[in-house]
Amino acid sequence: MSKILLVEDNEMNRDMLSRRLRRKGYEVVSATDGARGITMAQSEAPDLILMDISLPVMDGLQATRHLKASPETQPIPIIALTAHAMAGDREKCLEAGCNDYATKPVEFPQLLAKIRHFLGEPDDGSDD
Amino acid sequence: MISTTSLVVLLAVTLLSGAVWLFWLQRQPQQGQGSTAPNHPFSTPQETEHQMRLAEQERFLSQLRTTADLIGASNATLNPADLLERSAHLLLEAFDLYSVAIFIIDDGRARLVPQAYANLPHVPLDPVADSIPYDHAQSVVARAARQRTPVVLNNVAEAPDQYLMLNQLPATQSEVAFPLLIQNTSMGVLDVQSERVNRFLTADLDTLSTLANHIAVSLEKAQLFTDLQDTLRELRTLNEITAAINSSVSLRELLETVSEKVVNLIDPVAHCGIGLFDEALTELRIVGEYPPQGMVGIVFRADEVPTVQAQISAAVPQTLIVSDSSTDPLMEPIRDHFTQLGIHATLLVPIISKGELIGSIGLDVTRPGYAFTPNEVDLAESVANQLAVAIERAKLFAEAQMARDAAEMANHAKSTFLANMSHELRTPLNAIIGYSEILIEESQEDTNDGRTIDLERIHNSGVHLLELISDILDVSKIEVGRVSLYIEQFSLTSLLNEILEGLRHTWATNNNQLITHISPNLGDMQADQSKVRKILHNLLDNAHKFTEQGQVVLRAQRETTPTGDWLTFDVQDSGIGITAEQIQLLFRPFTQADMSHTRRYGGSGLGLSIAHHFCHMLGGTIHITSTPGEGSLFTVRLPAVVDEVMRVQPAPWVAADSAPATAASSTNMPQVLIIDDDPLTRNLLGRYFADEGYRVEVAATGEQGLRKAHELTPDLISLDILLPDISGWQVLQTLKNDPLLTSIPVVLISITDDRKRGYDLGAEDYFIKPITRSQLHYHLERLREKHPTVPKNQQILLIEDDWLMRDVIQRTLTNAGCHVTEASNGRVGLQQLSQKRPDLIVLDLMMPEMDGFQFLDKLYNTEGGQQIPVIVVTARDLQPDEEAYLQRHTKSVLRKGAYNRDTLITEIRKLVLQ
Repeated sequence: MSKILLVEDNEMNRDMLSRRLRRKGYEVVSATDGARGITMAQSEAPDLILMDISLPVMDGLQATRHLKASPETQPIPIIALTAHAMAGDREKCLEAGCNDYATKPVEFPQLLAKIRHFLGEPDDGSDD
Repeated sequence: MISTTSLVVLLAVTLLSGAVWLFWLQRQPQQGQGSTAPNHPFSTPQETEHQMRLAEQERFLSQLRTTADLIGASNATLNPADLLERSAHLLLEAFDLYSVAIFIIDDGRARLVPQAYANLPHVPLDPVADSIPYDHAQSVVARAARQRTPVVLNNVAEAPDQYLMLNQLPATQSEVAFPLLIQNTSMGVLDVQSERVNRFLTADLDTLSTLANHIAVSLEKAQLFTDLQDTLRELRTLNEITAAINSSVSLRELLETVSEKVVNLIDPVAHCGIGLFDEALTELRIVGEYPPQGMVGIVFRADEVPTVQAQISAAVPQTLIVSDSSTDPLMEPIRDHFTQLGIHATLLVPIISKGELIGSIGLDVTRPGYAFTPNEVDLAESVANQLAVAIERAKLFAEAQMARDAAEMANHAKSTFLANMSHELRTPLNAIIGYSEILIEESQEDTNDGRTIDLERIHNSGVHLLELISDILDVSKIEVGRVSLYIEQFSLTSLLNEILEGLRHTWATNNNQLITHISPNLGDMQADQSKVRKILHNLLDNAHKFTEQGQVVLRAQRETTPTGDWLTFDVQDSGIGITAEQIQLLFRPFTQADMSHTRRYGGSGLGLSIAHHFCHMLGGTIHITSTPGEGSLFTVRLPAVVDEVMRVQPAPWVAADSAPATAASSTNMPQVLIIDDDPLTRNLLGRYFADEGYRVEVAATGEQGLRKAHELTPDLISLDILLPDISGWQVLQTLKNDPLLTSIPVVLISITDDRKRGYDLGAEDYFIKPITRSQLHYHLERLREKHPTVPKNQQILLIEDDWLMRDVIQRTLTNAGCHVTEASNGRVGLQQLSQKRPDLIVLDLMMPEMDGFQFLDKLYNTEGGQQIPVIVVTARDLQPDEEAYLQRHTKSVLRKGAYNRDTLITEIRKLVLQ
């Protein structure tokens, strides 16, 4: 069972995403700001990180740079979650070291496909 | 000129008679006093008489000259002072007088003021000291003015009280005063004096009287001219004031300008100040003055200035004239102040707007004894009236500007608010959508308790609401200029599939058919994907919204042009359509073609406005053609590669043509008759058939179809079943029973599925709508085999080095029934040519070993080679001489760059089949 770290400050978004991911069989751990995200990434050693970009304490871009700079966490794929409206953010995400991005509101099937891609899992087609 | 000449003649006659009299008179020394009747001469010796006559004649001539001079002078100058001065001098000389003086009656008709004079002792006459009271009882001058008739004093010594200039001109012995009459009113007096007693006899009196009249007339003329000049100057100044008022200068500048103009307009005015009252009329603020004395900005309490207070207190505000500030009782409280400033008279003109007193213009005069004339008061009042309008307008303008600023600020604030609210509005909606999605999943997988439908409704409504909010936010962002482009590369086919997938439920709602014709070579686009998605989504959504049980066609293709690759998207519907007037409003935000549509069709009315704006941001265009009741066609053209910096270079635009493509028609091409009542189908099929190399004719009804079939005997008929008049079945039957038309293949294209009946009645083939281009193409290929419309086994020599291109052309032409021989360059082509003579050659220009030009040279020199038609297909940019060469030696030149591959093949096909 793959473990996913979800870094998201909005309680409802966190709840929705983690519930849906759990339903798909993932183990989900979550953090509510960038700094805790880094700590959790180190302690939990997740297989993949879903990183919201606008976060308190330390934003997602900073956290990503931090994670990608550390050899310990560097290999963990990070999918940034960006606001749909902020087109420029996507570029910034990739620059910061994110492996991919998904726009909010999250279209779950698409996000799932990306997660599976990074985790090397087959697309079982159950998401549609 | 004529009147002057006749006057000279008249004067000459007068003077001549006078001179005769003079002649005799001069010989009679000292005639009786008061007598004007001459004595007749008897006893003078002839010689002396003769000499005297000569002398007199000379004198007369001199007088005549002088008189002429006088008339000349009066005509030459229109300056009254100048005129009088010259007249006085001329008269003094010509009539050998001692003194000539011209008095003018002052405005108050109180005194006769010496205006011009000439006398032998050169004694000056003072306008004040030497003026004569108009009502002086004895004065010869005053009496002449009053009695309007010449008054003669033959001997001053006898009546010294009648002669008032004894002090200045003591030598005077006789005096005559002639009134200067204008319209029988004295305006002055011509006073002549002599050192001799009884100097003035009847003849002289007549002459001088005539001259006095002449002076009066000239004076009047000059006066009129001066008045006219004054009036003109006033008008000009008033005009300038009007112009200043109408120009867009600030009120403050305007008030300064007007003050200055008023000072110039009314000559004696030394200072002009303009003040405006507060609403309660308790204060007067000086807002303009000329010349500047630092008064602007000063506020007077109205009750401190008695003139101002008087004006406020009056029932109807009126102009207030203070003729003498040193005596006027009204001025008592501020007299010292006025004396200090040396103000003699003052005029206070009210500024009245809409019947309310809003301000005053104050005009001060320092010249002692000056009184304002009624004309000046009129002028000042008319300036005040104009000013009132200007002030009112300035006030309204300021209010309007404030209102506009406020509205703009409010609008901007609204847009900024909405743009900022983006996140706030979306967050709760995302939760609604997200949780309903989760519940749907759970409901489907776990419980299947029948709530799925309800949950889907919540979900769909949430999605719909999110779309509406997104539209509003997009427009707000557009309005505050916060939209930026994010350029990325993406696959168009995937994007289109995604959009179409997202709209699937919309079509289901309105029972619409979706027909897509997406060119396989669309490729990637480098642009802002979210903007392109929005544009196409909005257009497709719009097409579906306004179409019920109809069709929506999406066409997408890429074309290469000199300005780069362009993508063209056509969204065509068979919906309600819109009128030309509505098209004008179509791309404006918050406007739907018909406001009732909002209620009937829903939507924010922002979709097209957003699409329009985004198209322009991406450097593209959006265009619409529509027929009410038949449908609309939206065409979007976007550059395949959008620069980060917005492209504004206008795209070479070709308006979407709603008529079937018939441009390239030639009578050699096979003809198809399309019988269909749906214009969209006619149009679509027309394009397909045209691309297949057919000339297209259309008919909208069965009757019309049969008539055209008889007229044209086409090569092929495409027939719909559900027609408005007679059914397609009947049409088919009629066609098949007609010996002349029975051989024409008929293809049925209908939404009705009744193949058996169709084939039984003799139809060639049967299609269920919608028909795609490839279906039709495949069918037509089969049809061509069965019913050849082109010469079979046409021999084609294809010379092309690009194997891919060669292969495609070869297959296409072979399918069309041609026999194709291939060659990979010109040299190989020549070899083929020597073995078998082709009917036509398709030639590339840029090839290895032997290029197209060399091949053409050789071909031209081969026997019979000139007769073989050549079609050149090239990607090369041709020089003018090359172009001319090809024009002479080939049938047609096709540019590879101007067509995509499919179109190029079609073009070649068309040319070959001709």
